[in-house]
Amino acid sequence: MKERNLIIIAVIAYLALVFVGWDDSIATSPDGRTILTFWHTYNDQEEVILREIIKKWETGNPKFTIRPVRIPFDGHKPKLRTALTVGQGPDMARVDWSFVCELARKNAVVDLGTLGFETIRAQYLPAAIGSCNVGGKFYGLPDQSNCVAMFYNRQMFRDAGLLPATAGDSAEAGEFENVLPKTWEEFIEFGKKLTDESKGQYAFAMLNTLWWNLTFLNTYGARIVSEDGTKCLIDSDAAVGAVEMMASLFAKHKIEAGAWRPGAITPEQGFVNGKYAMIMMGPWNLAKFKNAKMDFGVGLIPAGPAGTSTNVGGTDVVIFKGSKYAEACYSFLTFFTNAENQVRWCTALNQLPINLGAYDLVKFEDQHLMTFMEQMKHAGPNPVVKDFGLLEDLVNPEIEAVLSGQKNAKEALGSAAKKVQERLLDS
Amino acid sequence: MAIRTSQDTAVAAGFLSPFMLLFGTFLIFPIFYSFYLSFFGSPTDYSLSNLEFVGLANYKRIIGDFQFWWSLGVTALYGVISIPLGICASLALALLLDNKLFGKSFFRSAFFLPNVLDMLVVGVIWTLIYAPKFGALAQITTWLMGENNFFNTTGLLGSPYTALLAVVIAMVLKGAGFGMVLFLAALQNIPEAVYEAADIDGASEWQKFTKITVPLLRPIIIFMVITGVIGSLNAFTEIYAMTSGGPQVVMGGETVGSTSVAGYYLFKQFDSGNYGYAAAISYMLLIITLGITWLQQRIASRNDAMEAKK
Amino acid sequence: MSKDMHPGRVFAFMILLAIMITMSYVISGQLFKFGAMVISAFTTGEGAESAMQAGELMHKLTPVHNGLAVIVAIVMTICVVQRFLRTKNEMRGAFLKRMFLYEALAVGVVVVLFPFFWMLCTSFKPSGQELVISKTNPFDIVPSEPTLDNFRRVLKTDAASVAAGALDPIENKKNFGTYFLNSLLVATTAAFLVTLFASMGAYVFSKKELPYKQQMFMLLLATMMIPGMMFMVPQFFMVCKMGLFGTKWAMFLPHLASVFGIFMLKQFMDTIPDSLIEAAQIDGASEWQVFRVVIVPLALPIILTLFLLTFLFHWSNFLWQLIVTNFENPLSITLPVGLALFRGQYTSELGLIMSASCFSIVPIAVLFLFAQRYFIEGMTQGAVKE
Repeated sequence: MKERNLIIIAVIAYLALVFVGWDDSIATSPDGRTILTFWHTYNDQEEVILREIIKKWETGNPKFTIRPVRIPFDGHKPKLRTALTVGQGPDMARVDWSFVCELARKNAVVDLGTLGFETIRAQYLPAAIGSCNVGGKFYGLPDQSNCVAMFYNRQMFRDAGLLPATAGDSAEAGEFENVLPKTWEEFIEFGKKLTDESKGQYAFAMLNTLWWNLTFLNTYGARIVSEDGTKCLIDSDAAVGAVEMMASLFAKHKIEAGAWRPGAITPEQGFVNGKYAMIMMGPWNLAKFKNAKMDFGVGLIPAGPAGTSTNVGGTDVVIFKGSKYAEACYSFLTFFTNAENQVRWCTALNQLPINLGAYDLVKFEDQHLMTFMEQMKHAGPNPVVKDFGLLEDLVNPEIEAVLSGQKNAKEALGSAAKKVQERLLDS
Repeated sequence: MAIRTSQDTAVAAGFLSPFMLLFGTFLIFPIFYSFYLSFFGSPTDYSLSNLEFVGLANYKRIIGDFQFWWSLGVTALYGVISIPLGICASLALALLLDNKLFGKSFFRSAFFLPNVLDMLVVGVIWTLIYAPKFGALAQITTWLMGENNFFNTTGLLGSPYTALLAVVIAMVLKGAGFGMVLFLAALQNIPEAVYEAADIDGASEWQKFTKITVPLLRPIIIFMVITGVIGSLNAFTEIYAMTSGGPQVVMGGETVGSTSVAGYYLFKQFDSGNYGYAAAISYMLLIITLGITWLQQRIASRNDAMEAKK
Repeated sequence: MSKDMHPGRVFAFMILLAIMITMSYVISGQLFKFGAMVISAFTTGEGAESAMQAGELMHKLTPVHNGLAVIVAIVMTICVVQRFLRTKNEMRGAFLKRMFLYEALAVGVVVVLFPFFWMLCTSFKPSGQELVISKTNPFDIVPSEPTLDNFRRVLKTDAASVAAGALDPIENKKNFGTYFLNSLLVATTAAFLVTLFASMGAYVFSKKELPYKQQMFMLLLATMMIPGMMFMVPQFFMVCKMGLFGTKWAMFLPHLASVFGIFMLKQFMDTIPDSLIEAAQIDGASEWQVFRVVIVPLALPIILTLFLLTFLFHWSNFLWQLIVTNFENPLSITLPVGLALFRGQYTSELGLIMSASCFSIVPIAVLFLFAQRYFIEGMTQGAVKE
């Protein structure tokens, strides 16, 4: 009998919950202003600054109000795709750089050239704006950008005698210039001193995905697709040279730990645990490594035949064709990314600026971020294709086949180029 | 008597109707729509209204798609390893925990609990366990065999020969508790008298197991086999979380992923927006599975007929 | 000791005893250390410095948790040895078998529950240290500098979230509590309806006569072979056409027709002897009474299992709930989608993800502990066995 009472109480409690919690109405505050919806993927700290900038813009544009709506970065692509299918997209959105080309090809976003973008194009960092360039037209603005640089474990360098004994307890500005190898040849030499397989210590660890590999390819001056986006160039001699060099780090010189294998721990984890002396990493992990009480420095990527270089990542903001107020959106987005607001944004959040006007004005306390700013100047362009995920899926397996010694670089990249041409560029 | 049956039918239809109503509303249209999509090319915009009719081109493309046939082979292997292993593990657990045992309900709960864990979390943890040089497995084998062993240099997930097996082990350990609950519940429906009669006839434990327990558990075993087949065809999250389809192997010049199962290949197509091709792949998989089922049933019924003749 | 003791048995006992002592010491040691870690994390405040304080406190507690582990190992050894000596000589073989069985089960439990322990431990680690492996003992995964910061960030009670939340009342509603309640409503309603409809349907397929029943069932099974993602886009169309976009109905309505559920229950009902139903019908029970009094109680363990699995499915159905969520309305965001909002873009902060997972697993664990009385102990008192 007791049990029955318990069940009845549970049912009543549940029904009460349903009536209290089952409320699907949206709270809106109509005050006559036109609402512009901005789907973003910022985190809490970023959103505070974003709202600050929105307030500033709204005082100059009293007819409009901007509603920032956060959506998860994991899943922003399917969310936007399905919302656009039924015409419920926002006015503007922040998307991953690789998504802009798909949106443009599917005729979903506004060509900014029609809104007068040519006059301000030169403000933006060339490598960052490159991802918005689809067939010579620009479909978005960069709002955040980053690249990778070489992180090194100072303790391991000290143990190998590569860091002078006089060096202090933490990395000073420009220290890397005397410590890190400058070319890939030097890198291999250094690597042999830093590797001790019996202790499980390796000089280097790398991931094998195309975005990470772009760093190697860019230092060899190799391009993935031609500038007009019609031809795949991944089988060029430069690319073959880069991939051969990558493979030799693991197979011939044995200074790479095999972190590219499925199931191996990431370079990041090996670095934190003092097993890998050097890894390529972006600025987003600086705070994390500091929290882990690591003694590390950051320097430029070693130079290949085309000098030092890096890849570019980041996000862009786009305006959708479904929006009735494209000009107001454009006005806000250019305001959001102008030099003054970029300085505010980057100094508050420790991020790299995308506006060249902000470059000389931003001064970071963190020396490593200054290194990243230097590295960013040498960034190579990203391949702009309608489906970057597919490009990765076609190229990554072939490069893995080279790394594991099942194919030679020329043969593998040849078949990768053929597949990319057939399934991505021509279709 | 006739009235009785029609009344019976009405009652049965009444019991079934809520389910069928929902099925008809939310699944019949999507099934036909995705079948319809399989005759169209990839959409050129997001509205899905101006699709290009391509006839059987998607199906023709599948015939010549080496990646698809390879992934089908990997799927078959995945099923062949995981289904028997899963059934044996859950049956063994159920039989062990059907005895009088101190702390029995604790053990039952403990073995069922992994089912509530998110697949991605399980994937991360098993990857860390298997990881060469760092993982628990590598630490143990290094202690036993020295550092130059396979688990420490390549790792189970790093070699094309063992990666699939490693995924299967993780999945079997996660899912065994569910099968265990099914078997335990079904074991309760076997009347004690049947075993007592067998005892009087002097049957051994093994005979009782094969002649009484297994036949009476047949519906559950069938359920496990069929859901196992479906699970293998739809396997995706575990691969995504643990290997992303790799490690790669070169087969006659083609580079293919050694754990790239059909579900993973299908997801990749779907994710790229190739709805038409993805739909064609899923119907091709359906046709192949139904074909094999039909063939297997025909062989089984012929065998039965032959035995009946003897 | 009596002199007719079998030397082989004593040897086997010694080995099993040694394994048992090591295991009980290691397992209880880790559990007590975890306890000490939780205590130290709770007694210190927010931020990296308090994590160091908590670490110092934990260090001070080391003798306590080590001592407790030693005591547990000693007590267990004494108990087992005493029992072994008391057991009659001819029963000792069985005793050893049982001991081996328990140890094997314990190893199994450790393997299957290790992910939970790892998840709990990681959620207490400060940012940046999730991946750091202890240099002295790589198997020791209990954090040495525990913090509650991850939980604070998930619940939005840390300084940064409070500042961000103050800016906008609607944004402020987007918190863990709202997501949790939304998911609870969606998952319980869905699980209840699925189990009800599936058990009614399964009863027909298993025990009733219906024209074309077999063919219908085969058709249902065939639809299970098509991966659910193929249905996602058309189902999304339908939900939008019905005007349900962004409502809680949209979160589960298309998934109510669970073929898996009907199949599982039908297969189990096949193992229920028909004689029980006939007996009830002779007693004059109506159709609904037969279903309620005979079928449901007998199938209760499986029905509860289905309830739990369905609850679980809707509790973590990320992709579907993501696409039907209206992000402008906090009441439309469910737990899996809300948890994805925490996840950063570049840093997959493991500690944060794991503490969020802990929160989402708690209700399931509660549900499970409540239900396990029925579907695990309930099985031992089935109606057939008397």
